[in-house]
Amino acid sequence: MAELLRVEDLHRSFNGFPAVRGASLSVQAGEVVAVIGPNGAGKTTLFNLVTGVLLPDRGRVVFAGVDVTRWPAHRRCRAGVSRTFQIANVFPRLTVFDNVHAACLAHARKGFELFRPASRFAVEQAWEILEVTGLRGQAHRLAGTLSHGDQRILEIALALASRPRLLVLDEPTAGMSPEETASTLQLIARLNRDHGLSVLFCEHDMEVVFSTAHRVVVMHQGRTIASGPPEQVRADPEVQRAYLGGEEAEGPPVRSQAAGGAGKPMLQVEGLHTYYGLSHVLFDVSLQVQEGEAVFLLGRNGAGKSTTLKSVVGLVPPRRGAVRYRGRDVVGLAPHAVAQLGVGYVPDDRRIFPDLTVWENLEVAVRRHGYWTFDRVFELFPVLREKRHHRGSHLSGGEQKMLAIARALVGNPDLLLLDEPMEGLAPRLVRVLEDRIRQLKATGLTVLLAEQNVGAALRLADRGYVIDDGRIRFEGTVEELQANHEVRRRYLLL
Amino acid sequence: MSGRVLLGLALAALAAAPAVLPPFFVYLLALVLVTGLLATSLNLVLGYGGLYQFHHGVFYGIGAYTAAVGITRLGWPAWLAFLAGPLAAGLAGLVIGFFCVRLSRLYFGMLQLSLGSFVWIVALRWYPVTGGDNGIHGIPLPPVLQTLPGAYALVAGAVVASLAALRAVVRSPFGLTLQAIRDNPQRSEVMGVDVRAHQLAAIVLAAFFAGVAGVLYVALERSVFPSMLFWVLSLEILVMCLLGGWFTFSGPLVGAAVVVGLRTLAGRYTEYWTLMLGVLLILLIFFLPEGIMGHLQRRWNAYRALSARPATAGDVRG
Repeated sequence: MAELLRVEDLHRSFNGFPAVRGASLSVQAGEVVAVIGPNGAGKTTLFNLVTGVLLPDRGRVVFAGVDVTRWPAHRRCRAGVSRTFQIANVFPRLTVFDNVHAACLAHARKGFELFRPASRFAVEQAWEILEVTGLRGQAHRLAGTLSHGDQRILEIALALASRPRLLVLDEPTAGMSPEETASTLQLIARLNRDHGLSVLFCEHDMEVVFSTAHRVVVMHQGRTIASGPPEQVRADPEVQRAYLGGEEAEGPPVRSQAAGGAGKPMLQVEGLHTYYGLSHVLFDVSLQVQEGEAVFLLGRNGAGKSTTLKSVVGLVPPRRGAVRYRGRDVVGLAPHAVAQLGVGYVPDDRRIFPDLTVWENLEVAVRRHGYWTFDRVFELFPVLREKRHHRGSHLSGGEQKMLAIARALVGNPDLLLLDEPMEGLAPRLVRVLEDRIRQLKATGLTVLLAEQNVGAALRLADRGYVIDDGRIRFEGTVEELQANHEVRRRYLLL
Repeated sequence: MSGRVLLGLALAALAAAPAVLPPFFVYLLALVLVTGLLATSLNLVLGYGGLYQFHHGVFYGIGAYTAAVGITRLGWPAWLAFLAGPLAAGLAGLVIGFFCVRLSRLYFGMLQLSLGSFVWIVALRWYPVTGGDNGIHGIPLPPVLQTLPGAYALVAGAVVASLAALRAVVRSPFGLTLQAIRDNPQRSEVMGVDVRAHQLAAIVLAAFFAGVAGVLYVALERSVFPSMLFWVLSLEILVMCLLGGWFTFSGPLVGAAVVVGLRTLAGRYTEYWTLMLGVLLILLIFFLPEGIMGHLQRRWNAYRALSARPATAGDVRG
């Protein structure tokens, strides 16, 4: 097989943080290669470097024997590298047809055809791609109104319109329903088999990876640490430790006194309907958290976990439904007013203040005095004490996460909403954090934990909910969820 | 179908106007057409290209001044001056745009304002050539253009031709690519589109047609003023686009008609006509955020979707 893509020792830093530091891989013509690794391992940055969205600080990218390291993205696309993005990235105000048509016109180099109507060029090609991807029936809808899954498929359609030799897919099935996932995988397999298309993709769903890839490359902390056939990678002890084994943390589950939901209701969410603009994201979401309890909210990417938390704290006010905190209706309150009532919120994207020091970040967050002093917070996260004079932007991703949690704690909340606290943390840190959250529970803090990391969430929480497509699909205790294979398979892909 | 009928009626009305309307309204109509072309040319980059073209008036002024200076100072024949105006404007678009497309969003607009102000100050201070703050008046034109029907015929003909060309551009592969860039430049780039080159081409085209509007203004008024290059005028054309609907092709023309009509008609009775414009804008922002034509288009689309539903019922997904 001829080598199509070779990546040699790429490096790229952002403001001093090395996101990629020593990534090398190759893709042969006709090969399907998967890149796996924990969140924040540098996979997306690597893909940005391969496709020219970013330029590397150091290293080389060779495509079809040509050094393309400094080429801009549009030039690489014309050479045959085409990609999709992790977050649906289409042209929202154009119709589905126009989306694909624009891509076909770009491929046909008709972008500077000024006075003849677009309808004379590349129309059949556009229809053909809509046919292949199954989007034909929705050709005249505005792309922005498509469902999340269909937008992801439109992404692939746009990438195919450039007739690539190498297709780079960033988490192609994230947020897709199981059926959509299956049909997307079939599409990828068919393109590979029938057209000899090479594919480089990254994915967190291990079933997808091991069923689709010919070869798997493992990334960890910005480096490629292993590469080989799927079975070999799965068995590699280093990979187990760095990535796959991260789920199997030790430590017995802790049950708080209020387990089983006998305590006083602290947070009651009833019939929540939330929209982002026109798109309806939460459908009739109801849940309850009792005082002293730890409740999980599980679901895949895009299932509605973050939106639920944001609706509770007032960042994305629901259009219908009730949110009661200690019996008081808080719908319509501004986020800061909800915080003052005693609700702490740790957003999934951390949102620390980059130009303030660690100390200042904490200082601005003090709302009232109570159990959580700076000393107690530093005891919990010793590394923050060491770095208390460092600016927020100079912390690593994991440290930023700790700071976000510490910041919520010094406000001395009675209820703590954690959105994906484990995401972006190295496996070892996940275990440290698990430990800390367990300690928090012991102090009597009430916790609502939204997580994708099912193992960790189940070890920490007493009972909870599974959300999918904006609807609550399951409610019960940890044991009930563990026994319910149907729910685990359908909504959590376990 | 009905669109074609509407277009035919509009063209017939334009042709018949000098015969039926009193001269003042013929003049006003010509002014609306010139301003409408100016606003439509801006909208190519603003509404279709998503670029913050904050100082579009500069290209209008450069077109007008080139024609005026060519005729009065260099003794060019009128046809040469009228041809040179749009070309000079397009060239200015190339130079200013070359720097601006390297910047993003707001910085694009700010740089344009500063480069444009530079051109304005030259026009304001270079007395021997531009007449300074007096501008240039009584520009000698061929006798046929010195009559209102003659000037109107040139304006109407050139505006219709220019709008047709702009309409073709918007519907061309270039136009679709431009809209794709507006929606998502990053995506366009990885689709193989040279984003900056397209943006620059759009600015040059828009500047060219602004220059056409500029020379038509000279044909109509036989004078130029430095205020044609001042940022206030640029703001006014921006308002026209927003008022009429910047995601529609005809919106800026409608916006120009509203603003020019209001200024001329209400301005006869009160100097506070801008107050009326202000109130109108506030109402619009609250009740018709997509602009006049944007609103009409949405209702029309909704109506069509409703009446077409039985035919496409098979498309509805389960």
